[in-house]
Amino acid sequence: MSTGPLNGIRVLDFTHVWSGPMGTRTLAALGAEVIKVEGPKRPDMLRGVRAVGVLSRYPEFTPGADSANRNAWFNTQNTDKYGVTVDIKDPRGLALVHKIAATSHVFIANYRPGVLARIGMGEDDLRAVRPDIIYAEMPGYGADGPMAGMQAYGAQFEANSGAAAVTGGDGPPLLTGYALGDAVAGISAAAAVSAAVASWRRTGEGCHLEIAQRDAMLSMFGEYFLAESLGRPEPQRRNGSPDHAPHGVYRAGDHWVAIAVDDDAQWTALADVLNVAADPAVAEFGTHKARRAGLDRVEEVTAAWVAPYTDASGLVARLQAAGVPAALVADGADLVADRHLRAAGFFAELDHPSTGRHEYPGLPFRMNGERLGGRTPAPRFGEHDDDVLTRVCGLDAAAIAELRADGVIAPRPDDPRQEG
Amino acid sequence: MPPASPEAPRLLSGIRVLDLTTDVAGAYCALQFAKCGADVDRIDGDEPPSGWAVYLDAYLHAGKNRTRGGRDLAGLQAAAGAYDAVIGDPDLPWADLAGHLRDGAVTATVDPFGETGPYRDWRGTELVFASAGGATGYTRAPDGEPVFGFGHRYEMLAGLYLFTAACAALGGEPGPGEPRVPAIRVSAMETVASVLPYLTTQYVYNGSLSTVEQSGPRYTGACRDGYVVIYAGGPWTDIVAMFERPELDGDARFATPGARFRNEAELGRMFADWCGARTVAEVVAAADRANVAICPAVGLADVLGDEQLALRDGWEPVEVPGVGTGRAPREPYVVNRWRTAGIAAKENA
Repeated sequence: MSTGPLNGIRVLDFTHVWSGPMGTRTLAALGAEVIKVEGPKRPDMLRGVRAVGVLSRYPEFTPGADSANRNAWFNTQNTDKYGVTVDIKDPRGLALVHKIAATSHVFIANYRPGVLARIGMGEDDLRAVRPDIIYAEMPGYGADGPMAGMQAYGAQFEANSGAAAVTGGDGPPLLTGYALGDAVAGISAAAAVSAAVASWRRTGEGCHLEIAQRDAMLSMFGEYFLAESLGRPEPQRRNGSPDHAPHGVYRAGDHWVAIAVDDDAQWTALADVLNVAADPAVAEFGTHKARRAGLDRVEEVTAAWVAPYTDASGLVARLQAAGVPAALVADGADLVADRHLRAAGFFAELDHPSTGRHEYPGLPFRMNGERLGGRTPAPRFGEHDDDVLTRVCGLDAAAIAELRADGVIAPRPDDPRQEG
Repeated sequence: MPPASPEAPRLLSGIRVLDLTTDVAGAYCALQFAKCGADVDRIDGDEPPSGWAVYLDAYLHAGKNRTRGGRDLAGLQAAAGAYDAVIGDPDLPWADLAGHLRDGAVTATVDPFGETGPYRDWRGTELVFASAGGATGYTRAPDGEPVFGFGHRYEMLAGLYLFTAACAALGGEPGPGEPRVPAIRVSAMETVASVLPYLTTQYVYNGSLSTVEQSGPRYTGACRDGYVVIYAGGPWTDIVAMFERPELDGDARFATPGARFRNEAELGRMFADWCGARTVAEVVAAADRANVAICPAVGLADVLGDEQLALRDGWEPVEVPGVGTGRAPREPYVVNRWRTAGIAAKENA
């Protein structure tokens, strides 16, 4: 397996919840050594300590005594990372993370503006120990301005970027089911850091990066703002497209099938596959112009044509074989069983000491034909305390034991004192 | 809008990129290079865009040096040695080009589905990728219909992944036995599946297909004059304070996020009733006082008029041929505070 193009780059990771960890998961998959820092009494919220009542996150619906290490969300978003616990309110703990920073190329965090400086992790603090560090912050809306202090969750980014309004079409605003804004912000942060690493490699200079998470969302549909600013807004239609007709999701048995017809040949092929070539609507809407003009009727007849089919996967395969863009509207089970994802090696089977052997989704990278990432499972709480404090900070076993006894770092993962 | 500083730091200045793409994802990758100061030469296809596609075309290729034609292999081979990165479609003759690239250069491609596998030759669109990758099924309209979203967001995310990996490879040392010109490829379908928070892990852990449990329930609330979005994952005491209903303090139905998910519909009705009796401004003000995460769900015109974005110099002019010069978002990252310094100065004045 390739070590990845960021092999040799160390990232001091102060991110938490989802957006930031998505970014550092990306960097880790690309080969960076990501050292994730949590407080010994403040685990990442995604470990589920606060939402332990959500049983669907745990193996066999059982949080267990080891719940902080068994949450599906945390364990998905933190693969390939090292995990350490350090209480930075203790001067010894702060000195330790400064020591890690001194050996790191990148520092990244997603706290509200001002928090990092207050806790001794401001840019000046870290530049004092590592002058060329790439210092990346992920505020919700920017470090300054009237919105700087606003709460920043993925749902908020969808709402105040305009995305929810457009997604809803001509109806009420609609949120993505999983807060796409978080993932977008995380990948945008990884992109900015990666560009900064490329710059550092050429110049030897670090920099300050501010990735405003709401701004990241805007970039994903810049063409909509461009059209709107010129007074040419795109008429909105739920599941619609300005270029295709029909374009939507259609019930087929107990599944939905997505179909996007781009040209007249695809329209004819769609009719052939659905065995409706003799339907007068096929000829009536035989041109793109006619289909766009009669879009409501086109959508209606397409839904009716698809409805009798109960083998959604089989229908999709036949449509694609005929050149019609189509897909199963996949759920979690469909994805896990998907023959293409499995053939591509998208899922990595990893042994996690607290959950057992399971498959975890990968990232979409290949370099020279080899998949990147999916090397190690998410770290258990404090799993790499001893390793990192020895290897990076140069502490001996006695010093580490003293820190542990004083609560500056957490008990070992297998210590019964470390429970849910 | 304050003018952009002429001294804006450019992380990738001096980098030369050849953009041979015909897809959204690859073009978006090249756009990120241009936004970071790289010199991007784009060779357009033969068909100029028409209809609404002119806005997408103008957005995707802003800041690039555009020419038309000149895609013959001999010409590409002759030109390739001048570039640090070549971005193009999967069907480019990559093997014939790679030998003409300089050491340390990278090639970058987005495959609709992947280099190999049963769907390798399938046709993709944003709707198809979103659906095959699991995102469409995750988002439901009130009537239960799955919703893919809009535009080309997942395709652009694939391009952003590609940019991230290509930058990571620029100037890096190849590992033992690795080629001197790394070839980076990203799958658009896998891009979608990769951004789902935990869906497949949850399924392999326990067979659950539930898609409702995030870190807290989320709602769209209809106010008297518009909509708000509510994130109800914060402390219950804050939400009780916002409702001004102290009798709900400690209510076991809602005290924890887990309990809130179990009683999501009931909590939703409470929010609906509360929002329905107020204006957006009243709701947001009350939420701010109580530290509850509620914000207006705004339209595109509102965002274009957003004060925060104006102060951050968040827009750049983009010309749409035959239409005019409009505004598009700048890159979402600010280097060394070059276009936000004015905000602090204004606030300190």
